Amino acid sequence: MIYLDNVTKIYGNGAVGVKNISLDIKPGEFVFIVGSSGSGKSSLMKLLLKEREPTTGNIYINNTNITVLSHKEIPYLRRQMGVVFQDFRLLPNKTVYENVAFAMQVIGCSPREIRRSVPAVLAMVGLQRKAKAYPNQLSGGEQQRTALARAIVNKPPLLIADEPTGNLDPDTAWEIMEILDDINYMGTTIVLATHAKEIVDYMQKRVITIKNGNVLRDIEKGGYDDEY
Amino acid sequence: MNIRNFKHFLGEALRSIFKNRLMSIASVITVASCLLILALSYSVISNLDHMLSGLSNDLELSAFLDNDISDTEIDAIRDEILRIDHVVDIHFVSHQEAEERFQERFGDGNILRGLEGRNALPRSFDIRVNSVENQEFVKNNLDLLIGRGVTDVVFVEDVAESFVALSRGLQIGSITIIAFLSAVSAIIIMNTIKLTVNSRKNEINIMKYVGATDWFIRWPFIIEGVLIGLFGALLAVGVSLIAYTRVVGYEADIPLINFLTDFMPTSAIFAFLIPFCVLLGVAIGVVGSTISIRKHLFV
Ligand SMILES: Nc1ncnc2c1ncn2[C@@H]1O[C@H](COP(=O)(O)OP(=O)(O)OP(=O)(O)O)[C@@H](O)[C@H]1O
Ligand SMILES: [Mg+2]
Repeated sequence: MIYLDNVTKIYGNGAVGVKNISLDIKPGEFVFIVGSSGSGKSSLMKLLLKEREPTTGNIYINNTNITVLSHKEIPYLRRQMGVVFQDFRLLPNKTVYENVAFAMQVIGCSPREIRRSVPAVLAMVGLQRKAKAYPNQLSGGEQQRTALARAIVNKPPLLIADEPTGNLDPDTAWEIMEILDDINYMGTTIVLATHAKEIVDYMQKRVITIKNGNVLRDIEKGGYDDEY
Repeated sequence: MNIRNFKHFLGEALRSIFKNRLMSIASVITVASCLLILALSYSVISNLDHMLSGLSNDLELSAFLDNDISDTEIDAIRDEILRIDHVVDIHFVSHQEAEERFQERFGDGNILRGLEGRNALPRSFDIRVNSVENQEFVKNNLDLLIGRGVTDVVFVEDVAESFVALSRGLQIGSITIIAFLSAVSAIIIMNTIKLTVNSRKNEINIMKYVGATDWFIRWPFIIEGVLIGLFGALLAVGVSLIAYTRVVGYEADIPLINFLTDFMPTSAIFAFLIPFCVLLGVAIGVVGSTISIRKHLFV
């Protein structure tokens, strides 16, 4: 699914994003990326989204070397991955339904497909009764569930989440994690950067710890590493 | 682009034009002013050219004669003129012919009716020179005859030449102004659309993340620019059409400058102006919007 071959990202100002990272993530895996602030988690996510280019090394997604894709091909790469952020990034002037439908409209889905898919995905994240609400009428957890619905409505094989529970209280964070676990159970590969120690410990998924841009450890069914 | 997408793009464009309506109106007016100046210069230049082509038949010299001299003296003057080098043809204009020409050129309009009993128009010789370069030489020689039966020598070409120079100057001036104003209009449209782009930065960002193509993101902004350019063009064409028809309508009422009011027909002017203004307006819109969206696509 994802294969990183000795990837390094050095920013223009000399800051190290990630350094000599090699990784192999199989289809259907659920992977936590943990590490202290500034260790390079977001940098890694941005490389996967091709929002940034690696300084050296190659990144393969679905057996495609994305480092050589042209600007024009990026949209088609992004259609294979859903993405959620800490700050939800919903459109305030659209309802929950419209925010999710938007993701389908902009890739050219027909109104029929949209009418069929959106309610189903809203039901999956438990928001069917909030379809007509605007983001400012929702709790943080509901906003993040809307963002999740938007990320998966086009059924991407890969979901990338950068601290999706960073702005949420622990209970709400658990709700989100349960939904993510469901999404993963249905076959979507998930790569999730987080600081949430308890969640990582409890979920017993693969945990990749990075420090100063390097992979410090990579454990199947691991817990949060306290000493990194 | 299919129909569904087009509807979506058009809807988005109209929505943001309406949302930023003050800026949109300001941009439409800027484009319209630019194109109006273009229409004005084009009308003036083509009419000047048109009038010039009428004048160029008259590229010759006229030597006006003293009203008191006799026919014999006139014959002597004719012989003298024919002896000047480079003169190829000479034509005597009698009192009567002068009167006819005057009527023809200025019409037997009401203004002249009050002038019954005025002096007869002077007789003259129309003198053709073999080429333009020699006209100066011939004129110098004719000037020697002034006081000896000739009262005045007129270089018809003077008028023509200054017209040519004027027309050329206008052409250069208006091309400069048009280029400048087109750039200004494009910048104004750019700023208008930047407002839209900025108010939709988040939307564009999300569109990029969910895999919208650049063109899908770009179209609404381009359509917005095109619509602004198009409205501006239509406004300019409308105003100049009304103005031009008005001016052409004055023709019959100003007898003394009849030869200057030999206007080109409205249809001839606007057969060029309408498509040109519309195309330029649309082009300004496309350029303005493309520039303002460009940097937001690289996320
Ligand atoms: N656009 C950028 N330009 C320059 N340096 C950057 C840029 N983005 C990140 N960095 C640097 O790269 C390093 C890794 O940052 P990154 O955002 O990947 O960390 P992170 O693990 O996501 O941290 P956090 O947990 O706080 O989100 C940091 O030193 C940061 O200062
Ligand atoms: Mg981060």
